Amino acid sequence: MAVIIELEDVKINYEGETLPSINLRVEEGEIVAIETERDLYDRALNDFFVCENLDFSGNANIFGINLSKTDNLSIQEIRKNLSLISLAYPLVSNLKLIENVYLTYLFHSDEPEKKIFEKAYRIIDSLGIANKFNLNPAFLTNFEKKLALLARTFMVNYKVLILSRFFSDLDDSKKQFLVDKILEQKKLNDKIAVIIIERNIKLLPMIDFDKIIKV
Amino acid sequence: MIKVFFENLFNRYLGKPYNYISFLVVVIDSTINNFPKGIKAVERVTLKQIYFTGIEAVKITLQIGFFMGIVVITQITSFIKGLGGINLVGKIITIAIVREIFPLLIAVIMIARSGTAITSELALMKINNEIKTLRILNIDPLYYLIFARILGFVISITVVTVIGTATAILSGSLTIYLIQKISVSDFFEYFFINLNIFDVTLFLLKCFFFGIVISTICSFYGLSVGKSPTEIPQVSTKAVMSSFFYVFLINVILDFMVLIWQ
Repeated sequence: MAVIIELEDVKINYEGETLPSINLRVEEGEIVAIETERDLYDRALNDFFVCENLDFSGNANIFGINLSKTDNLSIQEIRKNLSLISLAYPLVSNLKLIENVYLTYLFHSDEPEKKIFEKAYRIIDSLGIANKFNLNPAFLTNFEKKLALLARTFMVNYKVLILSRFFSDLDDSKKQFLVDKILEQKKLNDKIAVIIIERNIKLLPMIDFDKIIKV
Repeated sequence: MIKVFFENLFNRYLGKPYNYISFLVVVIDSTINNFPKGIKAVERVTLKQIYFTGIEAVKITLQIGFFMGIVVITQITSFIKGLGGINLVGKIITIAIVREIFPLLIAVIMIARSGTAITSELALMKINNEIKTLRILNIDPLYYLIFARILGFVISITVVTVIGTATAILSGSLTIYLIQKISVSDFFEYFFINLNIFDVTLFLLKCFFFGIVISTICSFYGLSVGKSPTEIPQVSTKAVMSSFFYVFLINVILDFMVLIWQ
């Protein structure tokens, strides 16, 4: 399997602090956990993976792109193939749930709007939130917002799915529901790699991780 | 002393014009780089902006146009008639209503009504990380959010100003018929004889530039917010003050330009 993320002795500078050195190698199809010590580390990792903050030392490659030599096009390429789900990157507040779900696809594809709407509706229906399709995010519960974020990701094609603090504050049945949906999606394309960033990975016993690293 | 006063005035309340111009240039550049990608999504935002800024403002515009038309046209007509120059009515109404009062009046309404809405909405989106979210979804916020708003705003302000002006002229003509016994057909004859290409051009130019200026300044301040929600009223105030200043400034510049052109 091809290596899609390779971090060697990477030290991220974020909000005036430097994170401990990170060594990580993610191959296609792997499920990897990153256990973090602090909130700041989660935010730093999120912003690093989506190229919002590239202030770092060490050697970092994502999809073969050297992160110390990026330009607008290469950043777009990374963001296109890497889907980050976190409440820190929320739904757009002035769009309805269904509009949030199909926004990315609508923006990047030429398909007719009706077809895009139907696809989005099928996805939110499979996640059990179709009855809320017309509501703004302010009227959704935290769990429903997480489902909507998941639906937004399922609308597009990606190679890496990063779930950052996605399972926090959820009971076991809800965690299981989300894990089942993610693994179900992964079965459709077994090359998709999944990275889970959480404070305590032991709270996710239902996932069989290929690797666990601590930051 | 005077220099310090003006520096403070610009820095604190009015902002520097080159900031707005460079912001607008960046928005246009982003639009050129992205177009026609995402045109359907941008079209939706533009239509929403037209709905909130244009369609929802029609009611208040009709009311203000109706009352302003009665007041302004009645006053002008009675004054001119007293001087014995009823044939000047059309000319003065054209200058007062079409060229000056209504483009400015609607711009003021738009700043208060929609400009503040744009600033606070964008500021809230930025504080909530929604702008960042759009970026990581490979959606350029300057194209998707700002260009669409500027476009929607320019279209809306033009249409709303036309509606307001037409309402004022109509209500004024009916009022002077009732009070001064000048027939509606005579009134419109005076009006249309005096309405020339300069008036229409100036009217449209004002709508266009006021729309660009208000939406650009309000968007600029919306995106200039930091991390705290307490900054939202502060940036909204700055956006309003600045928009008023530059709208009045552009009004004067355009008037002078047309004066020279004529």
